Amino acid sequence: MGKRVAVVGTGQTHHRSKRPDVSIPELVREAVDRALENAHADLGAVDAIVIGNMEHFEGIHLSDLWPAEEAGLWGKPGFKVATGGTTGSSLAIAAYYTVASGLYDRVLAVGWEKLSESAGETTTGIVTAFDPIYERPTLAGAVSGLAVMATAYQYRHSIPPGQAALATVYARANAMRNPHAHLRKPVTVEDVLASPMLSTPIRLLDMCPTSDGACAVLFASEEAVGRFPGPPAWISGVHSCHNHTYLGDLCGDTPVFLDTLTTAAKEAYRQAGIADPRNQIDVVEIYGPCSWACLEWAESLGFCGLGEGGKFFASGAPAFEGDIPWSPSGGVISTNPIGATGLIRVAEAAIQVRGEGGDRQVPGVRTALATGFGGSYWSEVMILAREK
Amino acid sequence: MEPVAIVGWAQTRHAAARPDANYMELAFEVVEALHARLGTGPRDVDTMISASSDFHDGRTISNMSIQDAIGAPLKSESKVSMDGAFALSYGWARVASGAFDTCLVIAHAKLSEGDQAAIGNAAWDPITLRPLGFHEKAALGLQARRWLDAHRLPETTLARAAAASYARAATNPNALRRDQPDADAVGRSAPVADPLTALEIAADADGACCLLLASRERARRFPGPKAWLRGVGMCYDAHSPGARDLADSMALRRATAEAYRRAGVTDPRAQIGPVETVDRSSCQTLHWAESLGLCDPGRSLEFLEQSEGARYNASGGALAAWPGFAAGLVRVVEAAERLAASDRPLALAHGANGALGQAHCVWILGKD
Amino acid sequence: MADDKPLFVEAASVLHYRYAAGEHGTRFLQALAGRKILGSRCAACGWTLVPPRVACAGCFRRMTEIVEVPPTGTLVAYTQVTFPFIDPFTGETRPIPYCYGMVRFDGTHNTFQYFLEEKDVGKLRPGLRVEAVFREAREGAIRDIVHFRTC
Repeated sequence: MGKRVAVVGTGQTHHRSKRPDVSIPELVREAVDRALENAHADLGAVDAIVIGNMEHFEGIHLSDLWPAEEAGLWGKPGFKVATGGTTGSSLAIAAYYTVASGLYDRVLAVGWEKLSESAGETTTGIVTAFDPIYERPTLAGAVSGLAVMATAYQYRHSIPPGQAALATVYARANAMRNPHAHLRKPVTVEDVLASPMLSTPIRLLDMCPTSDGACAVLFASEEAVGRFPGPPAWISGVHSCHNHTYLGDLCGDTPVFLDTLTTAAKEAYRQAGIADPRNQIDVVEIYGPCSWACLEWAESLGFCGLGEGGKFFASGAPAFEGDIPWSPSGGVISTNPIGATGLIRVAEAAIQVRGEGGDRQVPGVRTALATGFGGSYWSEVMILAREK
Repeated sequence: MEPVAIVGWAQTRHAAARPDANYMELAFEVVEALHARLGTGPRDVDTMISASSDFHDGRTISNMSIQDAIGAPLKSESKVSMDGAFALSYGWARVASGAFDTCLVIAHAKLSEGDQAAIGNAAWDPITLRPLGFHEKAALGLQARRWLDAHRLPETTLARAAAASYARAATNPNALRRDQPDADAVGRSAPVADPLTALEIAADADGACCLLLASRERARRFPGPKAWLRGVGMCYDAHSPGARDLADSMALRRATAEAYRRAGVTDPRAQIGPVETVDRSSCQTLHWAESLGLCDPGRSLEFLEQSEGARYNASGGALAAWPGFAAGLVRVVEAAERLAASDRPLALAHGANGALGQAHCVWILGKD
Repeated sequence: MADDKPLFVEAASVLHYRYAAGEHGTRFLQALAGRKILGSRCAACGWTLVPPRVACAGCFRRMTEIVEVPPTGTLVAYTQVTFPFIDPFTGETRPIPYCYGMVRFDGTHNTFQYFLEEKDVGKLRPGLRVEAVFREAREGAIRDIVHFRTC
């Protein structure tokens, strides 16, 4: 087996609808500076950098090149990872494997997106991820794909819309404790149900926003960890899982509610020695792009039985004060700079393990789970732990 | 560096256009060929790393189109959005980490489907360069002029270098430009960006390439000729053309030094046999050879035209076929293929990101 | 900064692409002109998939059998899109609201994503029987199918 790897520093911008005050390279630099500051290090402590975003959103080809210097890449090795919604978590995973392989001891993962600079809406860009003949004519971005899934889920399990809305209520309440979160305004179930419908059954307040933001996370090998003063967050489980190209192939008798997450989590749990995720994991940072997905993903992760996602949220277990707090950062529903979003999940999980969460710190965290989602319903999972 | 073997490979015949195949079909062509050659199937592939460009493909999340073709369902795949040589680094890391025993690395591009002038413009910074209409081919021209001036060489140098590449490409069934234009014909081809003519700039192509990596243990189960990954180096340079001397590639020199150090290369001219580089212009064919230390500065044309240089870009290089991000992976395959028959123990494969080589990746392959 | 107002550079970059339909896509679209819907069948597992494609992902075999499927099927999942956005095909706002869903053609093993005729989303449910409706004048394009009507 390869080397053990830990997170030794994290940094992120204060995510916003728009950051007109910075160019893309400057936005990236903010996150990198903050990660280095958090790690009590300078660029000399970084051996390689992996960077990513989704090119078509900002309309920049070879988008690793323009912010390369600000990211710290001049004169250093690195590469760009871009996998759509999973970009951020893919960056964390790429940094992990690079360190675990022994190629470089200290690798900085940098994810960013400046969606305010997108020519069309984000939906326009997302539609182009799909097949030009068979899928683009009907698809309305991530929203409609998730809506199709939610319709079948709701029909199969008779989930009342108020239960799905709870995921947003918790997320927005959590965002109030996180100065980096984009949407920092609490909402009620009534607010969610009164918001405009986007694509049945997903309403505006069920869905994540689009944000400008960047995040950087420094990974170090077990030999290098000692050079960083803060507590390390050890990666104890990693896996990712992909699926068919066509969304139509993902529908069997009903659309599968994220079998890729179940598959990825199962392998990550096995690596981490977790047999009872609901009780052995202290906090989760889940890439839940909408409220309905949160209910579905809770089942996929094994936190509750099939069809019980609504009850799980209604029970209060995933609230900040509950026994398995769900995205205390406010999650994707509060903040979504797409190329960074998956990496923010890993950063926030590391923050929880390292005890750096301030107002959003969940007490006594020893194990945290971070997930990524995107593409044709791909899933990525990373488990971080205080103990090596 | 943990030894990881390339146990098999396949590539398409790179074409000006492949209207008969969409991305799924193009990728399946090479993966099917690889498995047929090795007698393997998806059960033998633990993970995949792909390389492709959202801009070239006209598709956000460009790897989504090939999932079924590469056996990705319910497996772990990721994508490096750069020249395929960099994707190989990530593939190597996945195996070397011990998490996976085998890794399929695949790259594809269909440059015929996009507006390359617009895409070549979109590669530059939107504040100062794009509004000028600057594009990748213009950048190649700037670099070629600077390089000629730096070495006080005549323009015919570029035409002769291209002709030498095309003479090599004639024996490569997968190359696109195989009709062997001589230096005169190259010099007389359409001007594109002074001093470069059309035949002095790499040929845009549609193509795909894949290879299978195996851990040291697993590699023993594969009978055929193998190439071992012995060393890698990667390095980024400044993006802005004005930020550096275009006749000097710090990033290539650093990537080369790192690769040579890891692989124990102390005398590249003696130890390295086949060399394959991603040369987007015939100036780069020469410039890269010098930066790799294969010949003295300013002496690269001599090197290329003499027998000592026959092993350099024996495939014709990217000049003879540039299937976008697949080009670097094709270089690895071409180097691996020629290594077994070489009288030297090592081969070198190079890839670059950005027309001016704003990032370089150098691989050293060793014999079985 | 002397002046606090941030500056922007506008870039109206228009990227045109010509996507090859490929071997299977070409056959599928040509068949639509003849009011036929084609799928590919895997010789190993017997699964029939619409649209036809080069590989059966489950078996990882080249799908060589092209079969015609009936225009009828069952609705598996659906949604009604009600928010405006720019359609990447046209550069203009796609007309809303519209319903689309995932239809399993009779005898097939996956679903096909397309428009539904029904405008009232309350009348849609998984299990609904639907049928493809063809355009009078067809040209070998996906829009030769107008939508699926409820049977």
